[in-house]
Amino acid sequence: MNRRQYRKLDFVVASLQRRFGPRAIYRYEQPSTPTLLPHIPTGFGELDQALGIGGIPQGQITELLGPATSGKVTLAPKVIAQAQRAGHQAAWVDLGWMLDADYLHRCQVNLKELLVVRPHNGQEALAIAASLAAGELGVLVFDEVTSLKGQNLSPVFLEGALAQIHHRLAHSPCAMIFLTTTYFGPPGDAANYPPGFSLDHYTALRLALKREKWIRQHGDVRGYQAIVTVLKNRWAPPAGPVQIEITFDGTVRGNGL
Amino acid sequence: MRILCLLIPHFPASLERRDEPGLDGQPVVIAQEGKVLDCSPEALDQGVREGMKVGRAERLCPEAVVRTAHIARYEGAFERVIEVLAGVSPVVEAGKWGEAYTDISGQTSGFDDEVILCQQVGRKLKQEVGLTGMMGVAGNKFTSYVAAWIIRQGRALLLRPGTEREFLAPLPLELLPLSEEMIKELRLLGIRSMGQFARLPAGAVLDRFGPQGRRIHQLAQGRDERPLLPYQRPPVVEATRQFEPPLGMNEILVRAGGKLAHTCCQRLRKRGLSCQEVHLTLSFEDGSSHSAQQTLSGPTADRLLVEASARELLTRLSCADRVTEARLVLGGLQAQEGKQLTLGVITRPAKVDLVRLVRPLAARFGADSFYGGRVLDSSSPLAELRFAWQPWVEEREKVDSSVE
Repeated sequence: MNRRQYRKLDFVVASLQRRFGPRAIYRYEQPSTPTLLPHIPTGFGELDQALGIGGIPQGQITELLGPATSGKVTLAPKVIAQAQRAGHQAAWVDLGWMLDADYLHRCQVNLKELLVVRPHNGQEALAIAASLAAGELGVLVFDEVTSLKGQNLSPVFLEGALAQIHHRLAHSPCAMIFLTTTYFGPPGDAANYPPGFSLDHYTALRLALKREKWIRQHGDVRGYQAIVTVLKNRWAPPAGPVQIEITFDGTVRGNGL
Repeated sequence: MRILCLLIPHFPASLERRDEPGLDGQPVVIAQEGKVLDCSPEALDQGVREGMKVGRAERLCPEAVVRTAHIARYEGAFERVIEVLAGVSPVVEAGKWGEAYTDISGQTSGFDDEVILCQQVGRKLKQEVGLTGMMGVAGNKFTSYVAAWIIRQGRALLLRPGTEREFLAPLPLELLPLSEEMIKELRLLGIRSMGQFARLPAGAVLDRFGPQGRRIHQLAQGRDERPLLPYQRPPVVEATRQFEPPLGMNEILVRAGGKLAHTCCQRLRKRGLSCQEVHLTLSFEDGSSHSAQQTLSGPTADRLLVEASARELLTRLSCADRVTEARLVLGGLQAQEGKQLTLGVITRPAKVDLVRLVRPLAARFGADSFYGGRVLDSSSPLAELRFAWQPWVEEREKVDSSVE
């Protein structure tokens, strides 16, 4: 194509985008929705890039899966810290009553602006989460899905609760994060969820985390490297695994943050 | 090497007290853009800290006298302090306001001479700046700073060469530039004084605290290799115009002021700089001179803004005398920076009233389901001593009532 033909094509593309919106037509090598979607950055640059939209989508459900000490409870506070920096507020549903406020503080979370919910049972936890999902929060973390197992919740209730949360989130700027510890099987295995809790169906983003190695300095453990694999992403093409580094020396840092 | 350290604590507050003797003994708070820039020791005792919001400082110390900061005045006064030290030795390093070092090795022939020199500096400081300071003389910067820090106002502490380590040994760890975490860690190890820290093996300190910890370890041993960084006067752009015959305050003088601003702005642009301070000095027929200055809201190289400022200063200085010379100086120079233009207005999300959100939920599920976290002592090995959960509704109501 000569220059004149290029110019003519550009003109046609521009007029189409004006008429049908910027997502109607785009170059193949560029992502279709670069940063148009409201999102909250994770604070890990490479991971944000791999997610396609620059972070965790708002108004959607995200799931972080992985075994213990894989970085789930570091990544979630880092997202909260980023959201708080942008002026959002956050809440943490702590079903297991295991949350460490000091660790959140070390992850640069402003505790004064964080609501911690410690429900008495799983039913209450899901009902409160559904109410908060519609509450204009920036981030809502549900910690953790595995605790719902063994609470004898009916599959119909669980399915209904998830559908309600999903519906309420669609009208809210809240990025909801479910944390799932893979005690009972590999990531994605139905054994990790209570029956009827079809989280994989409702999530827009699923990230599997796995600890790769410990980082040692002078014999002391100073952090660890983890691999994040994108299992499902509704907004971007699948990206390869991303390595993140979490170090703790007074403050918890991720990739030099 | 012999270093003299001069400290004038709470420099801005001391200057305000110097200019307004009625403030003596009263807590003084210097405010800049709604935050505390500096405060007097009396206000410090009441819990006022630098960087705190002025409203909070007033709540903590209701009897405090709040004064607006005059940055240019403080800078000018500190430059005079530097000049006093420059009269002693050509190498002067300026720290933050009220802290300066000078190398006096070679200026004195012995310890007694150093005593006389300190007395001279103290007298000159009192005469030229109207303030008293604390002085420390030692073989390096850190030790001289500590010597000045622990001595009373208006006094000097001189250490004999080679006695730095013994002098520092009984002093507390807090005088070292250690982070809070490191101090807690050292306390857990039973180390409370600089001498105990200095006695630790260098390799162990390097292993545990890294190169930064090793540097601080050397300071505790009375070794500080840092050289003095000579003070450089901040650069300015200036233009002068003489009037022959002398001019009265009229339109011609105003136009001349505009031309001076134009010349200065051209020079600024050539050097790729912008300015934030405008000083105008007028010399009069009787030999006297008056000056005025204005701080602009942001750095600029815009001719119109500087011209408007120069005109305002001229009206401020206007009098019946005839002017022989006008001098315009642009200070606060910094490199011009491009500003990223945005297509849309960046808006922050509206603040959610969490109390309103939580109240109906607390009524439904019980107030004992909603908590706020508070860190108590990060270094404690027991979880219950590290942080505490407080019922959210109760905590928020307490905050609300305290605000009211």
